[in-house]
Amino acid sequence: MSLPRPGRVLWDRLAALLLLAFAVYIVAVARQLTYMQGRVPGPGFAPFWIGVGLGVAALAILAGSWREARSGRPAGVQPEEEPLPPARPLTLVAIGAVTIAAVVLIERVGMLTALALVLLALGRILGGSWRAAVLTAIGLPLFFYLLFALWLKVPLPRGPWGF
Amino acid sequence: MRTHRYAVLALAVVVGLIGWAGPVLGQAFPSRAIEFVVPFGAGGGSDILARAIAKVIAEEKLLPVPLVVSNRAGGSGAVGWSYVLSKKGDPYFLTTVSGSYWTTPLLGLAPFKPTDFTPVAGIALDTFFFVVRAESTYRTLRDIVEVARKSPELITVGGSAAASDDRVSTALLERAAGIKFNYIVFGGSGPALTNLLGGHISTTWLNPGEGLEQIRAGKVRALAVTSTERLKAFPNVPTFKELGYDVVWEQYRGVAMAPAVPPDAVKVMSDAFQRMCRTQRWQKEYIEANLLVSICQGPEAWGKTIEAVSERYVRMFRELAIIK
Amino acid sequence: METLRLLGEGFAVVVQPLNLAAAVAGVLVGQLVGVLPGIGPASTIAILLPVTLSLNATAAMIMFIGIYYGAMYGGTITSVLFRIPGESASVMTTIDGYAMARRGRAGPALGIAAFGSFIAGTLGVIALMLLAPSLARVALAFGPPEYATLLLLSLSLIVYLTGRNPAKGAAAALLGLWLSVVGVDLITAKPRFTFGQLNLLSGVEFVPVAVGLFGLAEVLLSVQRGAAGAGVTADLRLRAVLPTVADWLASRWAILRGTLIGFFVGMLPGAGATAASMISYATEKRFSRHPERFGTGAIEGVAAPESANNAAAVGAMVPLLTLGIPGSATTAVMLGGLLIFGLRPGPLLFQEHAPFVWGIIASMYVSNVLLVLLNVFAIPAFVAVLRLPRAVLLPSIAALAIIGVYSLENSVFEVWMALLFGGLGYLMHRLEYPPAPLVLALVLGNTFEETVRQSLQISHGSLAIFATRPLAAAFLVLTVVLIALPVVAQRRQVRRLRAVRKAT
Repeated sequence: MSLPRPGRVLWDRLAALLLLAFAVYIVAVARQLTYMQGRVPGPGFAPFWIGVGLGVAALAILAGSWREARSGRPAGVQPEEEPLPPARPLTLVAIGAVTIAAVVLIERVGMLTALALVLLALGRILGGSWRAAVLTAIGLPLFFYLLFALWLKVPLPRGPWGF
Repeated sequence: MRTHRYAVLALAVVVGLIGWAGPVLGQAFPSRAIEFVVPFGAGGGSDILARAIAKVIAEEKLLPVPLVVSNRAGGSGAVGWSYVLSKKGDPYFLTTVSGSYWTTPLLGLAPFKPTDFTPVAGIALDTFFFVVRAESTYRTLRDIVEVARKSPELITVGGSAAASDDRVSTALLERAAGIKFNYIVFGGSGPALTNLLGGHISTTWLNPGEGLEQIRAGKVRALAVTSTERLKAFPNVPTFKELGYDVVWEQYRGVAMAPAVPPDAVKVMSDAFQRMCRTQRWQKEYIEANLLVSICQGPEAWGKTIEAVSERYVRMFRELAIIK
Repeated sequence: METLRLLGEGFAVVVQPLNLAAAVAGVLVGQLVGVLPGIGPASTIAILLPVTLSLNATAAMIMFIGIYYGAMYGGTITSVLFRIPGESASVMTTIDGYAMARRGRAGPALGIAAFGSFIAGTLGVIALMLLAPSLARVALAFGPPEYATLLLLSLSLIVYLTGRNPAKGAAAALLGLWLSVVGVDLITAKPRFTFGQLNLLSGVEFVPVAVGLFGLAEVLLSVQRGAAGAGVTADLRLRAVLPTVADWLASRWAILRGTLIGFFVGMLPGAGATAASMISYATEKRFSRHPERFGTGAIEGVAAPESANNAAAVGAMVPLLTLGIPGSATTAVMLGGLLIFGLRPGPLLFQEHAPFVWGIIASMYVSNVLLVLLNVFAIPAFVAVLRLPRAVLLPSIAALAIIGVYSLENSVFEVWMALLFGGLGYLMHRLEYPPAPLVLALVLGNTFEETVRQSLQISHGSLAIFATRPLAAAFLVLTVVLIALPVVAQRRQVRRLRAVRKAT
């Protein structure tokens, strides 16, 4: 079976530490809120215990990763899915960047233009032909325009050119 | 030949530009659809109001353009109203005004004051029934007040929010009768009503429109109403005033536009609303259907109402120690 | 007999041309809207109010019903094909439905969802028809303590969704609980964890979280998997894409249990179809002899939540028709629509407007038949979408997610939330944190907190209120049993595994 790849344990612990820090933050904020209002739990009660619980879970994950590392095999039973091929960080970052840029642009160039840009850029990043990318970039926004703007009357953000 | 072609092109560009910029360059208001922002989700009181307005205005042809209702819900109205606030000077945005319009900014949850917007029309006011379920042993308001006097916080009162008209009405009654209730928030009058019918709470507040069918079916009894006079549709329900408790509270509904809108645009809109208010269709489909009192206030009167209501909320919330 | 006569009259109402046309239009619109993430049945009915107003109250209501049911059927399609929940009530369907699609079994997944929805919808209407008044009493028996304990029971089902590392499942669930308390506290009107964002005052919206966590994360994962991940059936003939006999055998009890849970939970005001689908999925996994198959494409994992959300849509009609109280956003809009017609649903609706009520009930049967036909025959067309090249399909999914989430509140903020949770979902998958506990906790968490606090307000702080009310006490006992059992079972399994390992 798939033994943990070298980086796995490190990432696992990093994530657990992040969760632990977040749990501390939740508890800290919760303590500013009223814990009990008379005899009834106040707004701070639930967040406090959620934070505590998250902290305990994070510690348990850390401890588990320790055990896992020492015993040399994953804790628990079986992995649920076939392992993913190694990440292609550049492609993923490019996709993320394109999408974020498009969402920033929604209110400047309009929803439909922003979507056309996403479709064009992602289509190319994923190795599609120019022809396919351009066709999708025109066709789908047009379809969305008919459906959302004309028919369902969703007030979509518009660009300076009126759509 | 060639110059000819350029001339045609130039002409086309100019015509296109005018067509594009036309609405901005001094065409009479309104020249395109107006966005009617409802700061709450579909199905709520504000949503029903906005859709009824859009419908009647279209059917009676009171404006040359449609009102397009858009729900921008979030933060007890904070999201929708802030959106309209950001459209300063733009007459193409209209919004509904209801209880949260005053309470949300008061609670410090929204970056505006009720007086920031341009008042257009006051439309209707609503009152509150204090109700018990049919099986309840409390027959009159006096029964409840007596029990509450003997054992403070025994009587539970269901309400829709922590800082709302139900909360204020409860407080007014507590003060007038010198008693203390156990006020429980249910997040809406629907859940409060089911809890009342199931016998999980002793009393709650209902708008006449919400209570009518329940009262008619004999499921709940209205003990008193917060209006100044008895309601026409419910001649048997006494007001708090006649029972000797100074509890008068009304909920206002109306519409407003973005801040600093040109006065002529306000006039166009307020004229349309004044005419709408007087149509049979409006009175029947909205006012009567929801058992409201029609007020038909123009921009000035409505602006004054907004200020007066604002002061009332501030006073009550201070008293309740909800705000400082 | 009386019921049958009334139902007959109801059918006579439905087959009038205008009403029948309204039913057909309703299911078509509902189906389409169900496919789009973001726009749900409530907003669709609101948008179409002006159109329906040219009809009469009966035709309008028949159309609303068609839209409501159509949305419940339609929500499945993008869930199975793209892992994007078309409706919030379809989130659980994405888990096994999409896993089936990746194994080339999108057809049977869509098929069992359609048939399950049909069975659940039809059984639900029968129950509504025969038992409505007594059902209303059940709904009224639920006060804050009963809700609180029922929600505790539902939340405890998360134990069955945690995946192979319980600590990570717990962390995901706690994150979900934390997200559920973000916003203005209902009881005190104090904001919590809102980071100065107006959009967070009303809490974290569920749809952007689900679309991000499942749909957008899946786009990234598909990219990473490369071409290997796509599973497409070659044979698109109807017979080849329908569920097999084995599928039916595997899902028959899931459909029935889903129906029962869905109808019951849907009937309780405020609980809703989303909670119903989640509870039924978790229950199915709990009672399965092979719980490990869930998440890898178990057909019961599609049948149960899809039956539950349809039954819940029927159940939600119970408080509206018998008490005049809307229990969900969708029924609230319906009520608003009826008011404009001058028809005010209340406790007397059944007596005073019998032809109207029975026309609606009959239209529920009709809508279900129309929808099951529509959905089954359209399966080959839906599945064919998966044959599009990846470079077209994946960007299109992303675009659909963005515009869909935007249309939810007409706000770019929700799109940002979806992106944020898309990134989080990707990381969670890589680090093997299960997303299901997070969404379940997000849906149920704050209602649980609110009902506990309401209960304690009623009892002046005494915890006895949860033990002395019979229904609440029963839920508490069930919760204890459900939590204790898996712990014992897991111990046993671990011991068995150790024994096996030692032997090999």
